[in-house]
Amino acid sequence: MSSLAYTDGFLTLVCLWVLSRTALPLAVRMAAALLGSAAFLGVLRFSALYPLVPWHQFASLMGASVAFPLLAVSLAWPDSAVAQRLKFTVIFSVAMAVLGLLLVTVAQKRMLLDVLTVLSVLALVGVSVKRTWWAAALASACMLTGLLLFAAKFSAMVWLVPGDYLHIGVALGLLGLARTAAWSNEPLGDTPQEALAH
Amino acid sequence: MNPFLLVVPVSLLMITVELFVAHRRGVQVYRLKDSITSLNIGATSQFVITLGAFISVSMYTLILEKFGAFVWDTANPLTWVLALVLYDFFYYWVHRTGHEVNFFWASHVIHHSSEEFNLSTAMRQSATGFYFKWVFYIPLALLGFPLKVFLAVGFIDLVYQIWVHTRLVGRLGFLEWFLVTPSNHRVHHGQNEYCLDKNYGGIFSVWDRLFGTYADERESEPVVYGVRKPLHSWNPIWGNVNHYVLIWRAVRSTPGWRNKLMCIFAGPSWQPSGATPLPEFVPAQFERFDTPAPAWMLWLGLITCAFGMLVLSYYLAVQKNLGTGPSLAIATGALLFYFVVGLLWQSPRVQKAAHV
Repeated sequence: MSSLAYTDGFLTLVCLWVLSRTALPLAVRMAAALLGSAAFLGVLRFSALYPLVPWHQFASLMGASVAFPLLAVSLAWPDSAVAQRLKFTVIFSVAMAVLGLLLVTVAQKRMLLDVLTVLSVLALVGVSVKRTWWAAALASACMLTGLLLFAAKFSAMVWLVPGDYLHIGVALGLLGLARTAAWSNEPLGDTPQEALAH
Repeated sequence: MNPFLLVVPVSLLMITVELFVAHRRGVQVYRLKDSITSLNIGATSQFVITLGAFISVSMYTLILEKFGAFVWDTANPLTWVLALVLYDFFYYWVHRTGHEVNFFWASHVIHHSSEEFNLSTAMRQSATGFYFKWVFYIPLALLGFPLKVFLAVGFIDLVYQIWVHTRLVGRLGFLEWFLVTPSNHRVHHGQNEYCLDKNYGGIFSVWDRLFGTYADERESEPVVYGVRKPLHSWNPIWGNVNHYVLIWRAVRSTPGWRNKLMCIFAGPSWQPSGATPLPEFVPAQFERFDTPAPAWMLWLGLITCAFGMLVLSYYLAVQKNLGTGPSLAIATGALLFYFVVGLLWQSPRVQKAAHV
């Protein structure tokens, strides 16, 4: 069994945990659902239990084009309609999914989709740092590191392949982001301390 | 052969039968100007959609080839049944989105713009919906249903919906429980309070029952057909772009970028906080749109409509062998023709002549 099956399994569990946290904005849980679906299909694929390769590729594409932008929008505008209301979360998701599909299938510019993903995670880092949400910044940095190591095909340890770094980075990032006070249901201040003080 | 080529004569035959039955029962379900406009709108949509279908077919094929997971036996009837049920399920969501997201309502509103309800209303199809509908059927491509299955069940779903546009068929007993029928589709076309955002199903009404959007027809309150922001035009081209223009105006006049986005993506009845509420709809006070027209104008309308149908039939017959250039040229010519006909019908001179 490939190491990717284990790290995808870890990502699936983290996504399930995020999904179960009803206090989080809908868009965050939607992002977790998308990433979790991709990860679960990854488990099926890399464990050779039931390899649905095209679906895993499609779900990964949705994760890249929808989940990361959803997280970015939710962190930048936590009270926005996209972050909070199902109808607008779905509209945004469908729009981003179409963009991703057009980039990959019609324009065949996978690179542009990767740029979009990295920009979304950079936005997560940027917003967190600007608002001094250090836990969120650290979590986003984990995600960014995972993405960059995957893009650079980094493979320093024999038992981990580049995809593992992506799975671990995204899982740690989601864990950290889901615990951040930025998405508390309490009214937000400028900093997590202020938010908690409410 | 293009299957839509069959739809034209079959629909015209059904309309004739409905006219005959209505005449025998002594009820009036048609108004000439409204029906001619419906047929002109239907023809307009076909001229555009034959080109727009390219987008749906291309995207479906691309996704099927790249991400389709299973192989289906097309000789097995269950494949077709399952595809039809799934197609209808996704159609429910296409249709619901077309009603509940303003930008997509701009595409679908033309189908509801008639203030009559008869088989010609079924012809009032949008010319601008092709750009987004394919997205909803991506799951069928992911499941690996072949293109011919997708197109065939889509055609069946569309054709089924023609016959439910009639006032001459009453309630159909137990069929009302799971099928879209004339009775529950009349509710869908109503603008009474209880009719709004109800009965989105294509063939099966079970989706409406499942997702809480089903409403039964009420004998106590006759359905008033049409939309709350009436089109008030006989022009098929204006009918297709009218609501986009309304959205554009709303976006320009609404302050704040969040509100501007809501003008596009919220429901058609959305208004920014503090806006003057829309007047209450009173069914009994509703007046249907009409304009005076001299007899020669009505004859001209009939002749231009028949001419348009003939050109459309020819176009549908030869379009497969035409290049993109000639197809575009014929479609553009047809759109211009319908635009001029629409202008003529509402020309102040014609209306003045009718008064004289």
